Amino acid sequence: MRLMTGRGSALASAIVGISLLATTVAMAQTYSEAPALADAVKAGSLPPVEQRISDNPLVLTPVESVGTYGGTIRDITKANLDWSKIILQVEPFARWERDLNGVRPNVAESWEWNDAYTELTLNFRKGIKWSDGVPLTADDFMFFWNDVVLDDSVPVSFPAGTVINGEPPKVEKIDEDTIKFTFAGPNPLFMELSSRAYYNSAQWLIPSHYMKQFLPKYNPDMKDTSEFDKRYTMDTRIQYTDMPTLAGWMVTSFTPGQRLTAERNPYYWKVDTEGHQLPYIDGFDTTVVTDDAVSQAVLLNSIAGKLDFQSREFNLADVSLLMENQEKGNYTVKLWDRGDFAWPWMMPMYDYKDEGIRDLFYTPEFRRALSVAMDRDKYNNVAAFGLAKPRQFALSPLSPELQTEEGKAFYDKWVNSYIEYDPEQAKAWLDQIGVVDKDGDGWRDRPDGSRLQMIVDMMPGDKQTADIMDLMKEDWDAVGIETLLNQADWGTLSDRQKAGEVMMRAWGSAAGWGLLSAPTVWAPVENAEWTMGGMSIALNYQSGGKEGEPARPGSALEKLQQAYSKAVQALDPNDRNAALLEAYQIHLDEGPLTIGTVGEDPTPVVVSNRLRNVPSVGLIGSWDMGFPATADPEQFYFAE
Amino acid sequence: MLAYIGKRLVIMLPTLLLIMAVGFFIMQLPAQDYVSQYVARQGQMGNTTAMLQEELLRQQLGLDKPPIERFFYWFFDFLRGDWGTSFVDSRPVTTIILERLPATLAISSLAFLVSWGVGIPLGVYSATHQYKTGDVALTTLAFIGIGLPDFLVAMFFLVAAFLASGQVLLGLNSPEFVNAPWTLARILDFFSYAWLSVTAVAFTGMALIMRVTRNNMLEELGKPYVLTLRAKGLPERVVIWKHVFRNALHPLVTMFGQVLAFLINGFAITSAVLNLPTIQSVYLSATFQQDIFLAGAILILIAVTVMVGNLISDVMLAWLDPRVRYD
Repeated sequence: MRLMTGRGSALASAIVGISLLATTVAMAQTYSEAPALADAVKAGSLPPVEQRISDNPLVLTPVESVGTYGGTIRDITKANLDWSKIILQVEPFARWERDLNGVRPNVAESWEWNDAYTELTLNFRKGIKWSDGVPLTADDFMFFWNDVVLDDSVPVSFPAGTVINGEPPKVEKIDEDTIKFTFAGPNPLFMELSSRAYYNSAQWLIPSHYMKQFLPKYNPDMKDTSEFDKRYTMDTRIQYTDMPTLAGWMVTSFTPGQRLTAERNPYYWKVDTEGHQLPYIDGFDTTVVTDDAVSQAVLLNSIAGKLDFQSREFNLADVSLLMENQEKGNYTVKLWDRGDFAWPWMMPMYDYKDEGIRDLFYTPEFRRALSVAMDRDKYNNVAAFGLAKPRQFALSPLSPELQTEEGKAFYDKWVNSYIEYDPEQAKAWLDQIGVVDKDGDGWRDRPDGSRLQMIVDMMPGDKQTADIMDLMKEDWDAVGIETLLNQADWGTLSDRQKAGEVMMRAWGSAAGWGLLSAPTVWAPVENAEWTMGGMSIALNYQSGGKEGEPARPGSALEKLQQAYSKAVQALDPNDRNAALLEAYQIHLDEGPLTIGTVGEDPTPVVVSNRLRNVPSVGLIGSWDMGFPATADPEQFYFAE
Repeated sequence: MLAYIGKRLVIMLPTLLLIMAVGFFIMQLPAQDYVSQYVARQGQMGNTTAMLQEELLRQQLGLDKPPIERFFYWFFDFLRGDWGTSFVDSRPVTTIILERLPATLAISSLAFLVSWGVGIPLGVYSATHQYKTGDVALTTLAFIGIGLPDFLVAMFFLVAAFLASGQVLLGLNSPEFVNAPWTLARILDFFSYAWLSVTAVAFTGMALIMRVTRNNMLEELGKPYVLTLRAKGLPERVVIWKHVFRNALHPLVTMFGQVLAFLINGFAITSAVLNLPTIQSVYLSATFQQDIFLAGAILILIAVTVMVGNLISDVMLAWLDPRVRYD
């Protein structure tokens, strides 16, 4: 048995000692609470703090210093409330470390794997309570599993990452605070994967005592499960102010399209290193803004000093204006990482219905020619104001497997391969493979003499992608490749991709991390629109060869699928990292297989000068890593 | 006259039915529906097993039935006052519309009053002072107003107001007043925000009204009866307002037919860019998200206001001008 108390299995770290020490310090103390809650205790409307928080509360080490209570954070969210969700609803089994180096205990106090990584015993924090004071126990999860997941009349199927080799897991209750998963095969990354953002285990944890009333099974007044669904799906859960939560703040009012307020959860189960019950901040006052007004709203309100903590919605074009006005608006701009490996990235579809185009895509010189024909410095300066980095398609340098010495050296080679702007070289490569102008119309033709056009599809509404595509078209046209750009909505593109009718897609901001987030961006293994290589090739892998069409035998795509299979089966983190580097080597040797443009755009985070304990690094591009919740907003505080 | 109104009302019913049918089927045209958008969103969040729920979700939302059947369910529920539930925020469509109706009517009727109330006198002034400095200035202003879309004017005002006062006038209230009762403080706060959208929308509306009034006035002023009236020695005020202006009213009355629809559905883009809590902005997003019941209900609301508005303007025209016949 392998016992993990401080870290995720994959990414053990030296900080274990520090957090264990902190836990001991806190245990020796009595707890203190916010003045308003102390008043409520005195008035008798709330039990004392010792009875409210769990037996072994989680101790958060502050980023800078222990804080003081009080204050309301003013911020802005779009109409779908995504910014609020990622602050107010991220309490998964485990939370990602602030430096993303593995996961740390959260609602789960500890967990143990068997040696084969097929059985996971997970211990909920003893005495942890929902915001209405009712304890969270193993029964809550068993309710979710038996009455929601396994019940076919509820439209919730097996959660992501639990189905292995097509088989669902077995879930058992061991005791009041303990559950056990038995997976159909090794599932070593389950804790990491289930700790992503608000839509994995943070979603599965539901208060059974509240949710039962919305299931026809328990309440004959319910004619179907739609009332249940609205409270289960993270699209709308946040609107239900009466639904108990595990988060630091409870939503207290919500006016759609206008405003959302939240105030502290008196039963929150985290304390600081001196035993103060968290959160420090009293609550949130969030303005809800239409998608069309949001970038104006965040910019102007920042400069006016009316926002305390904001990211995500800023236009890159506004960063310099935002910087200039830091003093006027009494805020500091922290540049967090967007974590995107590319914005956009070019996905040649190796399953495109035209065999001639496929032949070209499978020819490395053709892809290399396309890549070096691109003037990435120009794209960066024009479309990203010089703030991004010209790069080849390569995963984020923050991915764990790229953190080792070997990984870093490899990453440098990978990210810089075939990005030097060299149109002459591009022409030479095209000449070499017989892509020359045969009919004298000024455009290069296919080796068999028929007409060659590169048709690039993209979604509307993404300015950076559109700008870069315009420039790229000029560059490709200049080396003789006739390029056409086309915009279409998600549904149309999705249908056409499934049918093999998209030749090349320019995908907007994208983040992918080894095996942790969207592995299908580097190997065609999931039948999703964002897969590299083409959806039917990925479907073929996913269905075990039953559906879709296989990658060409011996091709880089086939090698990638094999390398992926090897990496997911690795149980030891070092083996896994080595397997991933081996897989990425295929991209380096035969690549680029998908083509990068610019990426690693920074994301401005506006932080009021009064707000403390906001870390200066973070990654906010993909929601998966859970920022800003991963930065622990519970320990943010306002200086006097 | 009553028979005429009755006949018009009867014709409205099949028209409405036609609009509902066409609107409903246009909303079915995209290859994807709300559920596939939802599943795609879930998939992007890593929840790839959501695809397994697709059929059950369609069943629950009634999207699995053939379009014809769904149309009739929708149609009869609609008549019974059950306008369905929004897929996106899962609240009844009627709640969403009623919640947004007051703000919508407040802004649009203010915009209407300002654009007509100011546009007409300025148009008359412009016509009676043709080619004088005042007229040239007003005409220039009107061309700017007609040339620029109101959302652009709104953005310009927004930035100008921000630079001048440091106020960010997005929305219709400061955050602290959003759920507050309507006290004097809230009303004042409302006006401190509303002036921006009202002026922006009224500016373009006013420009149009001004130009139309000016043209008609000029046309009328050139007619022989005006010469007669003046020769008779009538005061200029009476000539202009009692005689010429009345005759110049026709096109304005015809335009009035669109005013009711404007109250519900004018300035949609301005609503979206200024974050106004109006029906228009929700109509835009509902259409994009294929939230069909919400979008459908608003479509019908607009259709009804257009038809009623046209009826009112026809009746007014007939009442104003006996030469207009009832058939």
